[in-house]
Amino acid sequence: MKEKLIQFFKKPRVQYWLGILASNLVGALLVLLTPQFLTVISAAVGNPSVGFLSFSLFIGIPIAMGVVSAYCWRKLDFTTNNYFTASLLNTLCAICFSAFLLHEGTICLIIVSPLLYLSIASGSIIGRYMFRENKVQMQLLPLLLFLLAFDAIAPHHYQNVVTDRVVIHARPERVWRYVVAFPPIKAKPTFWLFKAGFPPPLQSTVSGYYLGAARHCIFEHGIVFDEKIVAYQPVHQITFAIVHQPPHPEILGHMKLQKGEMLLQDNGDGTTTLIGSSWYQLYVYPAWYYDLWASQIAREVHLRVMNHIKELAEQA
Amino acid sequence: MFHFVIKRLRFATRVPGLVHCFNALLFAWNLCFHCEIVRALDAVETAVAAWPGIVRRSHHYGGLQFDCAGREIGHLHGNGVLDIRFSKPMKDSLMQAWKVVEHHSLPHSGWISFWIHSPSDVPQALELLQLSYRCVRGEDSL
Repeated sequence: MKEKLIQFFKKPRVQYWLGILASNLVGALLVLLTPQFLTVISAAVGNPSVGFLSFSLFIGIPIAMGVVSAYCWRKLDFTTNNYFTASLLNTLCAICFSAFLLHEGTICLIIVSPLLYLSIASGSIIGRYMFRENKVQMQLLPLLLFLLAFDAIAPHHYQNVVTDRVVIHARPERVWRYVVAFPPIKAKPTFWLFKAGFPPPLQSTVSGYYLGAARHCIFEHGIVFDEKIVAYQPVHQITFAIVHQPPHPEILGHMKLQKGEMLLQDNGDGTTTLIGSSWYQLYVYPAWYYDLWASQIAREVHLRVMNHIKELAEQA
Repeated sequence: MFHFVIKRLRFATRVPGLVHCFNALLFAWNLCFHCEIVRALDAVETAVAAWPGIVRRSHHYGGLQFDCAGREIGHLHGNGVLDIRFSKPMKDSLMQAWKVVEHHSLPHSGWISFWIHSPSDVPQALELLQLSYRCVRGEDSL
């Protein structure tokens, strides 16, 4: 029986799938333990940034998963390309587990998958060289623990603003009519993430044209951002603070929109430059990676709204 | 980046596991932007591994080392650099006739570096390794 079991685990196909299974099990275990560890360390050092999704989760754990899979694959005589291909399958399995167990949204999974794949693939390459001598080497463990500790101590307060400009062939007075509130956008979205299911902006409504008025920015799928006008200069500026963000799974806990602003600049030649800005805070790290996505999404939201305003103002 | 790390961050090689992380980072970079280097490195590894007496192991500074009879014949880094040690006279003659350059961190030694950019560089890399292999086996003099 024991001999049969040994023979079974020596089969290349079994070792291949065992690598994927073991790495996902280790990954699931670390996903459960890491936030607890981060919370304890953060509290111990008095770091207030608790509750964020840090780079330990998106880089450290996938690297550890890759290392575990490489340990199981060490006798398969894989080439580097084989490791990259097998890591792709490993990543797909990890994404499926995340979808079922963590209830992550499709867009979140699309966004996280390149980072996850590169981390898992890098981990498998690290493991490939670590286990080449066919010995269990734990030399990476202190490094991963250091990464965790550093993550717990590091500040997590990333804010950014995205600004876009559109030139409209209409005078500011005409443009202003559609800036504070605008009717539903009927044009089909062109941005690929909107097509993939990320809700595009639809309409904006307002309770009145004055400072302190309530504004609602309505996105598709019934998502409504409650806003309050905090700066109001007719035909020149409107700034609104986000007072309530909908609990949508694609953005909940990942980012917080803080405020938005529309500025109108009279170009003196019958045209107006409409400048739209959005301020947001990220709760997912590494910020350099997630901000690539967040800024692009903010930009596409701006452009969809601003091009709609341009169309309405130029037709009027 | 490779030269900066080699020259300025050499002390980091003492951190256990860090050289493997750096090597994996080079591979990940190549996976994203220079897939042909990964293919070429795989081709070199597969060919050399088939030679009699070759043992593959991790290089001390990250990468893959080929040994024969307990002696190194050369090593590959994740960014496509093949490093081989020859005698000084042999290095000088190779540098005149081949596309080899001074070693990235030991320019005054017998070490040479050969950059593998694409699968078309594989035959020349294999020739260099074959030369070193024959020297190590005593078929040629270093």
